[in-house]
Amino acid sequence: MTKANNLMMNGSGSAAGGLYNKVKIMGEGTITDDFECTLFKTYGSSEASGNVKGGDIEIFGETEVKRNVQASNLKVYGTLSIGQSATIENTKIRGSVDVAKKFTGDKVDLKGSITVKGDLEAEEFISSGLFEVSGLLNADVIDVKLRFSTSQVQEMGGQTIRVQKKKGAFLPFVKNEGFLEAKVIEGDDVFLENTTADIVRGKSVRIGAGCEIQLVEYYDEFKALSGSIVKEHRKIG
Amino acid sequence: MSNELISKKDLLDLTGISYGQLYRWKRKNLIPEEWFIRKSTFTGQETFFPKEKVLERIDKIQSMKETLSLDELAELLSPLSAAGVELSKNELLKRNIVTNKSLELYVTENGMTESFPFDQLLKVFILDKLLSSGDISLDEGRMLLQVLKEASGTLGQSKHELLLIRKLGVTSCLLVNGAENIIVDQGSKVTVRLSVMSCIEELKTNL
Repeated sequence: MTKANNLMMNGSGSAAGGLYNKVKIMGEGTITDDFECTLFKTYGSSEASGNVKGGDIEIFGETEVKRNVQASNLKVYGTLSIGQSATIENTKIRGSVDVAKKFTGDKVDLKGSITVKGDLEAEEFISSGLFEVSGLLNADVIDVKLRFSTSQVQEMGGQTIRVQKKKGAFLPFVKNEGFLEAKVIEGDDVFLENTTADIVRGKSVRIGAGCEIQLVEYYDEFKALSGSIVKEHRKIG
Repeated sequence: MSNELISKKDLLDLTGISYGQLYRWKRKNLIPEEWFIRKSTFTGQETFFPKEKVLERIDKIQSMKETLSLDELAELLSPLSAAGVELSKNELLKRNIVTNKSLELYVTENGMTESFPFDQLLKVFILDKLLSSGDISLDEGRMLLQVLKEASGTLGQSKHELLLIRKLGVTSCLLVNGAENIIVDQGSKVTVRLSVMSCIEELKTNL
C-alpha cells in the first residue's frame, strides 16, 4: 500500500475527505467528507462535515465534527463538538467537549467539561472538571472531584463510585465548591459528598457531608456521616 | 416467550451478581440496551428486565466467562457475530433452514445468487417464517422483501420491528425502529408484529 499523504492547511482552505497520513489545520479549514488519518491536529478552527476516524486527535482551537468520531487518543485543549457519537479509547479533556449522542471509551480524564446527550460509557472515568450526562454514566471506576459548578447526570452506575468535594484551586478565599445532581446512583462501593440524588443503591454505601439523598438501599453496609441528609434508608437482600 | 419482568434488585438477588458486573456487561453489550426497561415506581425510578431472557443470558455469561474473555463473549453473543456465515442454496434446503418456496420467491425478486451471506439469509428466513405460518400471502411477501431491501445494511443493528397492517384487504408493511406502542385506527388490523432481533437469534440457533 502506498503511504497516504499529509494534509496541511495554513490560512483558510477546504479539502476533500479520504485517507490521509497527518492532517494539520492552522487557521481555518473544512474537510467536506468522511476522512481517516493517523493524526489530526487543529490549531485554529476546523470543521469536518462527515465522520472522522483517527489515531490521535489533538485540538487546540475549535473543531466541529458533524457526524461520528472514532479515535485511539483524543486531547482537547479547546472545544470539540461532535454531531453524533464518539468512540475513543483514551480521552483527555482540558477544554470542552460536546457529544450529541453517545460517548464510548476506555479511559476518560476530565479536567475541563463534557456534555453528553446520550450515555457515557468507559472503564475509567476520572474527573475534576464538569460533566453533564443526559443518560447513563457507566464506568467500572468513577472517581469524581467536585471543584466548581454543578455536574449533572441522570443515572450513574459502576463498581466503584467515589464523589468527593474539593475546593477550587483558584480563589482560595471564596467558597466555591462543586456539586453533583443525579437521579439514580448504583455501585458496589459508593462514597458520596456534595451530592443530591433520589436513589442511591449499593453493596457498601457511605454518604458524606453536603449530600441530600431521598432513599438509600444497601446490601452490606451503610453509613451517613455528619453534615448529610438521608431521608430514608433500608437494607435489602 | 413470556413477558414477565424482573426488577434489577431481584435480578441481583437471584443471580448473585454485583452492580459492577451488571454495568460492565452492559458496557460490553453482553446485555442489550433494549432489555433495560426503565419504569417509574412509587420509590422513584427502577429498571426492569425481561425475566426469561435476562436470566438465560446471565446464566450463559457466567458459565462461559471462565474460559472466554468478556470481549470474546461479546463477539459470540452479538447478533451480528454470524455475519461471516455464508451458506449455499443447497445447504439451506438440505438443512431445512428455509423452504424451497420462499427461496424461489427471494431469488425471483432479488436475482440468482449461489450463496447467501448472513444478511441475505436473514431476509429469506423472515420471509419463510411468515409465509410458512400463513400470516402473509406471496404478494405480501414481495412487499416485505422490498422493505427489507430498503433497510439493507442497518437491519438488525438496533431494535427493528416488522409490522404488517391490513385495512380493507390492502396491506402495508413497515419496519420500525424502537416503537413501544402502536395504535391503529379501527378498520386496520396489525396482522404481524415481529422483532428482527428475535429472528436473528432464532436463525443463529438454526445455523
